[in-house]
Amino acid sequence: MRAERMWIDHEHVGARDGETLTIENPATEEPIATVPRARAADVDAAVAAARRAQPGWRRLPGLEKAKLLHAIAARMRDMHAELARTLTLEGGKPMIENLDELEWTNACFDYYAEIGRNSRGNSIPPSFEHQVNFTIKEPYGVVAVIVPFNYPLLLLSWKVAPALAAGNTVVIKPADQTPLATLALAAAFDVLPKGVVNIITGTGAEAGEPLVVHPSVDMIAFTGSTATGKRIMRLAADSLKKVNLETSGIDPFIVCEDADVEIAARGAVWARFLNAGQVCTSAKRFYVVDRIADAFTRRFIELAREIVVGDPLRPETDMGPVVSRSQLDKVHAAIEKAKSEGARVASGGGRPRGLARGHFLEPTVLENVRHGSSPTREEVFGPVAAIVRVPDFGAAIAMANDSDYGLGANIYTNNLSYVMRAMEEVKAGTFWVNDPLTDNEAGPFGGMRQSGIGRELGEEGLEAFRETKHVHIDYLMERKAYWFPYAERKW
Amino acid sequence: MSATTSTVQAPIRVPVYPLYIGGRFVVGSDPDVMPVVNPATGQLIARAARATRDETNAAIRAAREAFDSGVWSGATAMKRGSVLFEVARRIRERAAELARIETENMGKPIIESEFDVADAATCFEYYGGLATKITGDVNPVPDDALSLTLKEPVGVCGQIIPWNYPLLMAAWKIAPALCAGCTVVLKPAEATPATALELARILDGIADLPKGVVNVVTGDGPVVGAELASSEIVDKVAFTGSTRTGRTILRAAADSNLKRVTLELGGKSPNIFFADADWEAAVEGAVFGVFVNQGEVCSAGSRILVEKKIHSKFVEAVVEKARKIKLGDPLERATRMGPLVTAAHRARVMGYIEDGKREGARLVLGGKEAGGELERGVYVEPTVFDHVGVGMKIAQEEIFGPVVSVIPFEGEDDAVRIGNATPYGLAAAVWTRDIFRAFRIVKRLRAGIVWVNHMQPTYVEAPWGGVKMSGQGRELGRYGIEGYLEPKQVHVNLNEKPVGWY
Repeated sequence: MRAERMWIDHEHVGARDGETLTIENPATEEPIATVPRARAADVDAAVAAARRAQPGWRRLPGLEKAKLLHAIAARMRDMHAELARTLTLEGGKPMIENLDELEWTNACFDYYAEIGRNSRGNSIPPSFEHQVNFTIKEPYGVVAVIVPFNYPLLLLSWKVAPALAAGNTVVIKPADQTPLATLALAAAFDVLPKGVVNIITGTGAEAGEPLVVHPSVDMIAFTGSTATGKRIMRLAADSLKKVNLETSGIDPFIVCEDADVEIAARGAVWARFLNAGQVCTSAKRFYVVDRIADAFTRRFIELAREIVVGDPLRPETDMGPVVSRSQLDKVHAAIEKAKSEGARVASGGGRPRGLARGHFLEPTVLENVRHGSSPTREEVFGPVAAIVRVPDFGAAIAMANDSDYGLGANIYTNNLSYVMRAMEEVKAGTFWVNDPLTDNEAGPFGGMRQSGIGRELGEEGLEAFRETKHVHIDYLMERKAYWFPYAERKW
Repeated sequence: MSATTSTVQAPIRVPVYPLYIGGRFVVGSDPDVMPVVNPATGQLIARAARATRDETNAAIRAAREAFDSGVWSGATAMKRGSVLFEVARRIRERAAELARIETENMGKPIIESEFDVADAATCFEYYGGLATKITGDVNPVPDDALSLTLKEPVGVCGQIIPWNYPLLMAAWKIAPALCAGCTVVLKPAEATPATALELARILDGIADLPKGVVNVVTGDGPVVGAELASSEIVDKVAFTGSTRTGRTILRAAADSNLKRVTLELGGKSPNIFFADADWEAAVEGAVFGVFVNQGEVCSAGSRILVEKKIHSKFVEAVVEKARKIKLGDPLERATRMGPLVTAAHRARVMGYIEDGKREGARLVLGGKEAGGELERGVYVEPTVFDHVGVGMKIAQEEIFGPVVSVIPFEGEDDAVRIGNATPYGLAAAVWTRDIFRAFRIVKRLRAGIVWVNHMQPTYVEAPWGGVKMSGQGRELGRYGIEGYLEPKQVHVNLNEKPVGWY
């Protein structure tokens, strides 16, 4: 079994006290590697390295930063076969989805390489002719990057690429289930000056919290659950650290009566069971208009049963295991709770045949779900679809909005006025029409309500990692009439 | 013009509008003043000075001096904004009177004039607000330096406007120019100077607007317009009007001082109807799209493209609705269509109607001058040609009157092909309830403005202008201000060491 090490100030290091965590393959439940179990002292070392590197990195011309970000993307491309395999082993996501993730990750570094060097601030109209006013954008300083298990490298890139482009340095903490591909990226980040990127591994409580409260960390960029997001925000409040949070979602998926049932059902099944349902923007609540509800549900179930569940390393596999035993337990508990509230398991719900080991669950379809019951209120981070029958489009919109969350939302229709109305009325950071769950580097991503604060990607994703300084220059050396003494001023 | 002036009785006492040069109202030196005629009655309602080349140049010099003194370009953005808000306030204060003058001079229904006056005020307010938001960039140069892009006014602007929206076009031109800190020489159209000169009075009454910043010069295109376009000390010309004149202006700019030119020119905009469109809204949209303002609109939906399977029923409904358009005295509130602007323009429109008949299009409505009590005005009945061939003159050239050409099509590709098959590219509209189709068509049409399930709504916040031979540059919105600004790149070296080259 490999013993991986952290990466601090360009050095591969273990934890100060030598402790480790064991990483398992969720498809086989076998241990595959150990990583250091960092605690506060290790966090201190990583933050100190980032702090030392930051002034120099900030001053590096934008063009040079761009070259280095492109170089990171290029190295990752060279390593893509190895990275995809590592992602598959540690996370259980099918190989093909990991290859896609890597492609998007590289694209994100290339995108921010260019946008970062193309924007610095604005010149603005002065109050008086003898003045020059402008704004310049400055990095926050050291950014803590905390990433979940479902897309370890993609969600890292959404934070690290713009943070670096803006002139910050970073300390990355991957999820404790999936640190291995992230550690492997040290070979790509190696092109950067020492200390610009640092990677620590460990648990949220032992490594994450000391990072969040560290006085030399200026900003926290986090993707994960709403509960953890809230905890981070509370901890950050003590020193007014900036936070950018992308948290949970229970995304609605509206199917209107005019939708093509075959296409909508295929889109819906993919939107729910992609990555075994472990996507923050997985469609979780399906509001299907009564007139086509039977046809849609029938087809949805047929397609869910056709999903090939199994070893994520095999090319024909559509869906792998969920990430861990505890995650699987939570999903089973959620299914039981839904049943107790009247939902009927129309398909799935158990361990797939022929898979004795691994945290596998059949693609599960809940029918007869009542809006307001737990599958429409509580995020189920696994392969469980909840289908709610609604009388009409208006009811679908009302139910879609009746949520504490507002990350993404989907609609299937061909009707222009439905689209426009839903687009305006549905609270969601991303609204997908007839094409669920796609990202675009240029399109801001994030949540409304309790799904987060701030946005990633696009120009807003760069702004998230820098703050504005207004510079006011007066080139007339004169005593101002409005200074003391006030006796000289008239009321 | 001559046909109309012949009806004028010589001794009628009417107001005479002077020129507005350098903050003074000046009686023109040419005794051959321009008659200002009400096209609904043929009556003379005013006269306007016919500026000479010398007078035009005096106005240009006044604008030049005002600009070079820095009295306006150096005024704070807040001050320029407050002047524009004051212009708007005074326009609104006189709205009823201005609307009446507009209708009497130009012939459009009074309710349309009222909207135009309100829109003109809104335009001044929008650019008043934008004055403090003119931003440039701080450029991310790789050297040890601070690189700024400052935005500065382009300078003296000649602005030449058409007769179809006399006051509103003056606002579209003057408001962004003043917002940017430019100075202006405005030339109204020969036939419709009245409201622009009323606007000059409003501007003259605002103490915070320095003299010479705005000048208004009435006269003939080949004299006043030509001087503005060929002047060596005018920095920019903004023109709205025909493609032919636009081309003349571009040539004059090229032959003189390479002044900047923005052009908003003709159009032959397609209004495209698919069978799944909302029927009532579509029929009304087809009629409104082309007959509003007597069809004297650059973005008029003068080609109705309609899907074959609804073609005959749709044409029937359009004809039925268009037949009921109330022609009449434009000062009457019930009137929905007034006279055309001049007899000469009507003759041109009637010529196109003859062309349409000769080329074999089927005339299904109108095609005549209005008779009865409307005979003394220059009215043309709403006219619909059906089965128009894509290459026919009435499908290719801008008529600028109440004449629409219906062309049936079969399928999206055909609609797009016909929609794009003119030298113009100002506007277009598509009517459908299918969102996929709507966006497919939007992306394939070559036009500066594309409406979905509507035609003609115009917002000061959104860019306006055309592709192909419909113009260059954009007016309105944030884009509209860029045409009056020059970027200045400022590089401040932050490295005190010598370069060390020699």
